[in-house]
Amino acid sequence: MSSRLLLLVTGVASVPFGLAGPAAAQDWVPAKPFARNSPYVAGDMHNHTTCTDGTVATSYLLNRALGTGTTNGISNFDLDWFTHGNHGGSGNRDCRFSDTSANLPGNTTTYWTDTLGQTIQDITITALKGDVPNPPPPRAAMYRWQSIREVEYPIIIAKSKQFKKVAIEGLELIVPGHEHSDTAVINGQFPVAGVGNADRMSEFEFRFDRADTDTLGPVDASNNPVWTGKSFDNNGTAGHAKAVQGVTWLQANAPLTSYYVPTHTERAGPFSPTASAGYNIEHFRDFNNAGPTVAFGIESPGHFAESNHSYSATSSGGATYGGNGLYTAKIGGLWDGMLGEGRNFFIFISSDWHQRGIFGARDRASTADFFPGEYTRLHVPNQSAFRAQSVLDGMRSGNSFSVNGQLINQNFTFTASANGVTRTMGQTLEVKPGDTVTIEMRMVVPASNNSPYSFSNPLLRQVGVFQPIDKPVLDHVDLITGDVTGVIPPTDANYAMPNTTTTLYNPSARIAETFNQNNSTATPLRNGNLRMEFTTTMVAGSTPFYVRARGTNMLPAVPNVTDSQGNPLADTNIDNVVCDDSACPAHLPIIDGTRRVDFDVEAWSNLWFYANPIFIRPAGQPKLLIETNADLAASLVKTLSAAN
Amino acid sequence: MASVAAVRARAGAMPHGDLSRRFAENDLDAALAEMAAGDVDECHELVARAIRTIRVRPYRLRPGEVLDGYGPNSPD
Repeated sequence: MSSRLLLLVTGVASVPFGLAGPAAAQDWVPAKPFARNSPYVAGDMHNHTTCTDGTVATSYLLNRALGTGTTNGISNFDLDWFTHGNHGGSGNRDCRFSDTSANLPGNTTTYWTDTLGQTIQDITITALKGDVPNPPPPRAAMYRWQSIREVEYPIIIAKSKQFKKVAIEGLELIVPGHEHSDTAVINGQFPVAGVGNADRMSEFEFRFDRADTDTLGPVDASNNPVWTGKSFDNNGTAGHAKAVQGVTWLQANAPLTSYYVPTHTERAGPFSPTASAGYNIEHFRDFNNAGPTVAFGIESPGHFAESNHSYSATSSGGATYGGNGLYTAKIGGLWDGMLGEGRNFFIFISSDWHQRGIFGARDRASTADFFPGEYTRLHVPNQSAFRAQSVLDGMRSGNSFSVNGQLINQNFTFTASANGVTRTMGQTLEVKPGDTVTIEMRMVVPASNNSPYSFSNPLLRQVGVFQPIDKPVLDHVDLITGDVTGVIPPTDANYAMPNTTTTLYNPSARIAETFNQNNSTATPLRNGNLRMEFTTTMVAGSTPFYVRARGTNMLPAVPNVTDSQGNPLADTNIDNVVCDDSACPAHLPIIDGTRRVDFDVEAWSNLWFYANPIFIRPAGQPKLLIETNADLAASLVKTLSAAN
Repeated sequence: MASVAAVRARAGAMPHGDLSRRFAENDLDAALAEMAAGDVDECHELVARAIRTIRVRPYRLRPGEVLDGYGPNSPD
């Protein structure tokens, strides 16, 4: 199938959610963006700068993420779209400058108190707003509601125009009662005419971020607060209630122009009724119930070059698994539990870029994070007129897939067909019991990736496979199925079901079929890439089910990495793998006298991708929640379009 | 929880070229950034990791090894 046909398939698949928002005058984004002619485009929605706890300036981050080629010999990562997801709260550094630790020429750590009244990058900050400086002088901080709208948003728009790509001002919310959530509210950011603003994004941060302690917010001409009624119930059960109020606020004010995607969801351990900790399954159910068109999934850990990806032994699951949290990685676990209800609940991925650890921002090695696009890419459907709204529509639709280490690229097809009807990720195929459902997957494995390392993959060397780290080979793809047994109501005893590493929320979930080089078609392409195609059939029964997919460069039963079924083991086990190639870098830890696989070497060695589910429902059975929520989005498109 | 300043002093007592010192000091810099951004838990975790790095010293250069950033202007 040609790229053009692939695009058509994807375009048709996106219709229920397409064109959801009002037309925006993003004239700087060409109508035919990127010249990719590919069905999907790649982006990132979670990343940080010196406005909070990152190390580089906002403009530098966007230059690296959206730029093409190299700048002064430094690689840029050419993402198609970018959402800036910095923390809420406050920050005392001026994010028009990078930190000294980033080792960028001409940049030293600069504080807001150093630059008040100066015009820098066409932005003049004359005062730190809010009730009281936090922390107090001499290094008083700017509340994030101010930096979102007065600093980050203007830079985002300037860079969007410079690169002619979609760039959005978002937020990594510090969630009351929990840890964090990726959010964006694009209302006002891309007006049909005139100058835009990020006021709604800013307001959401002020109202619902538990680290934003400001009681005042912006004031009107009479010095009266503009945003009143803020709650400070930020912890435990009351905090969770405030978090749900935040989702409800988004559903009411931005049902098609916002999202709420909890991130590194296992890292803070289980939920605590008295503190701010992690998430259990009932909290995601609460969010999805309160925000059916805005709270539609969770995101992977990020921090992919950091040892254990920032997950400690107290996280839910005690570690990451192939770079993903337990909620995603465990078959039959939390994600399958949500899908087993028929919910629109999807998996996303982002970099969570902050810094490169002991290295500088221009180095290729990292002991902490990767730049957006360098390692992690979230793919959403391409469109002939790709806009900020397209990013949100694509995410909401579930027609997306998440890839680490460029294991596969944006030329991807995952469909289910029966009786001449084809559906893709996030959609539901209606069939008759006994119908044959044809599952097709097509993907392209790039000839190489961004890894700086070309020595033999130390994980695969354990099993006699010698594969350069920067030339990964897709070993296999698992098709995972699970039954859909209906939505669990809040009154059900199983609604709030504790999570452990052995908890099965959906016992029917299983690997239905595995594709590898023995049962697939591989076609070398002229550019050195490899196209792989798989087709299989399933017979529909009387129970609705879903099909999702994951792929990896790891074989089953790689010691310390995968089990005999190919499931990822806890990544802490990889500390046991010796890196004894003479090219193994010197920043890897030495344990018992031998250098071990860790940091960026581990990240580039152990690659996975995850594709969101396709649902299959027998005709005559009630629509699944994913369908009724899609219908809700479609009706909102009509309602809001009529109102505009 | 030990203060960042106290742990930094312990790191500073390590040899200047000690790779574990560099890891520990980087974690302490990040801890201060987290504190300034209001994330106390993350600050504590980074300080704890720096303490562990100072104690265990898992990062070190063998004779003749250099730290390679795999790009221009590597800090070393």
